[in-house]
Amino acid sequence: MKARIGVIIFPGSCDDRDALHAVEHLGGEAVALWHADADLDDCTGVIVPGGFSYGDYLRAGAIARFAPVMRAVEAFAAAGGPVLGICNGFQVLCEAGLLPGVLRPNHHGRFVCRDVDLVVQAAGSHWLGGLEPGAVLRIPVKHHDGAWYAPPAEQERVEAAGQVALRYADNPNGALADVACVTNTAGNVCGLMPHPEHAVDAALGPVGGRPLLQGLLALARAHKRTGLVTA
Amino acid sequence: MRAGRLFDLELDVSEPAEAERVGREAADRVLANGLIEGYEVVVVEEPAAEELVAE
Repeated sequence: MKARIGVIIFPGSCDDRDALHAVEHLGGEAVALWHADADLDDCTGVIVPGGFSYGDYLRAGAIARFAPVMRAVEAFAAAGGPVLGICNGFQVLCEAGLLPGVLRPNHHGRFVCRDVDLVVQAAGSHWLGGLEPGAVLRIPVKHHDGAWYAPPAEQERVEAAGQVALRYADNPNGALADVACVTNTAGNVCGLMPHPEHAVDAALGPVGGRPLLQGLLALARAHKRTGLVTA
Repeated sequence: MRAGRLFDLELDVSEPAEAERVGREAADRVLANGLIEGYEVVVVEEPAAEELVAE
């Protein structure tokens, strides 16, 4: 049974095609979802991809959260559906309140584009196919506003709840506590600044993105079995 | 260093209090992210047409 994964396309998205390719490359069925659509076309997993949705003129992800398709994503997430936000998608999910915190401009004020090593945390197994804590994944980053931040009380709550899935081995952007990837409290929504969809094919570079996307496919298959599929 | 932005909202409302309420709602919902940004709403009343003529 193939997992049917929807990839949302906003005006200004630029990593949607790689996300669609990565899903197919790993054995899933990839479906493009338009930002103005009001439903998720029977998908059992969703990727909110990277890019610069609506130009990010106001604040990264701040406009996209109001797109019609995001109402369906919110309902899907509330029903336990797996949602993965990558880079701008992470920013969108934070702005929408589906993930904790916010992404601030990089502390050095420059765009950063390079491979980074990510260390699996104890809570990562849900999305990371049972990888042991301490395992390292190499995945590229490319962003200007990628420094995850939460107020002290919120950060403490996120850490205590085990919602940090990955940390940077060598922090490229000034993220608080080296946080690279967080989940929501329920664990079905996950966001990260690095790009797993760019790291699935050994012919093109590192393949550290495979476990996360395979995790999404597994969660989507499980979600389909539960019947908790919303529009 | 502090960086700020100025949003100029033109509202068709009759009372300054209503203008401030709408401005705060816009700031809370979209213009500012309360985790990292603060905001101030200042209501500036548009001069009546006759006042502009008098000037």
